[in-house]
Amino acid sequence: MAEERERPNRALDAAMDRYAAGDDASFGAVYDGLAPRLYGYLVRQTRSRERAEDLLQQTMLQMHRHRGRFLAGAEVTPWAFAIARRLLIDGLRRGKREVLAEGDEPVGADAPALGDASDDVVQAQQTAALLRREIARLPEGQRVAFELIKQEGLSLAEAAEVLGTTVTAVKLRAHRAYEALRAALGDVIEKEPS
Amino acid sequence: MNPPDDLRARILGAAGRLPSPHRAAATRRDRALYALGAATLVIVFVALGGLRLGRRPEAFLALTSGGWAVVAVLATWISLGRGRSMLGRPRPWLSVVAIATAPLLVAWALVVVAAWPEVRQLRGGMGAHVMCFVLTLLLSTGPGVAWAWARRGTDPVHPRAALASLGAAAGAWAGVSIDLHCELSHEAHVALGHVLPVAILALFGAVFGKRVLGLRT
Repeated sequence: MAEERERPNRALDAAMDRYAAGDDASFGAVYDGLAPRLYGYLVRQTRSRERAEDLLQQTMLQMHRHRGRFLAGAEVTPWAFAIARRLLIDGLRRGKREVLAEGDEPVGADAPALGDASDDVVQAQQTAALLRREIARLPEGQRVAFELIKQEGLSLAEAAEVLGTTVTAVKLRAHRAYEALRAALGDVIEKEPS
Repeated sequence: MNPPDDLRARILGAAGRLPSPHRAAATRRDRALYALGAATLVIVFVALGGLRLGRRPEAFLALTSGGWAVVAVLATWISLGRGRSMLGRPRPWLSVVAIATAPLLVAWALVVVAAWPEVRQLRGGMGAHVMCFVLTLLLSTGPGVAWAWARRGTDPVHPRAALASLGAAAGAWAGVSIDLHCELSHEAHVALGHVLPVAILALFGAVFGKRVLGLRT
């Protein structure tokens, strides 16, 4: 028998369960539990707050439309991330790749100006930029697995569900991504946690 | 990272205006669809003449159809079941069902025919192969359409693999039915008339899966 999976979002899953059962008021709790993580993910992926808001709205409404399909005892987080990721990919494929339009505030715009920053801040910004560049150079499968686990905080099992594959496959992809980053960045990133 | 405060009100307001069935209603609808699909299969099977033993030994028929029914049950359990995940089985599982179902059916038929070599004389011509091919596709229509309809527009992860495996599972049930009905048992006839449609249905699912099951935006 499979080992019982850890359920860090038990309250959120329970709220979605109530919502699926017909308790309309629980959608607010579902939103409150998911929106910050989904929004952060979408902002990082699109680098546009407006686009991220649009995608968050579409994601939540897709969940609303299909709430009747929510299985009792299922986890809502992987489902929500999978929908958000699909909408993101479809948007990009339709040629809606975000172009930072005028008035569209880019991520990091509120970071301190280099002239005012201490050496540590400058160093951190340079490291972050270097890391972003190296992550972008990873193969698609490795990059997505790494982002979902390391940046979005999903468990291996959740990331596997989002990507429609097995835990073993996701573990391998994330490990390879980590090794590639370590080879490229050396001491800049910390040792991979076991 | 927190989204703007007004977005919450906008999304909750939009959801309030957009009707969506809750779980009990959705489950009722899905069960009705599954029952309709199964009923269609049975009705077509009976309309074609139902069970026909012909010159086949009873044990031979029980073993071939029974083995194929086991394959069909397994394929359906993997394809249609979702375990405890909202996103269904992992893609490798679905791909195995889509790819392996037809070869498994042929392999089982070969094993059973090897035990009753006399049934190899029950061969048909190209006309019989084509007839069974068409009937198998016809028999698969009920469950295949019902399952695809119940899942339409809901798969954000692997719609192609999902529909390919559903196609193979529906084809496997049609294969069981045609095996019970058709009196011909030669390997070539079984492969071309009874099992090739299973592979064709899986291929159809792989090609049209995104359009049918993919998330509608």
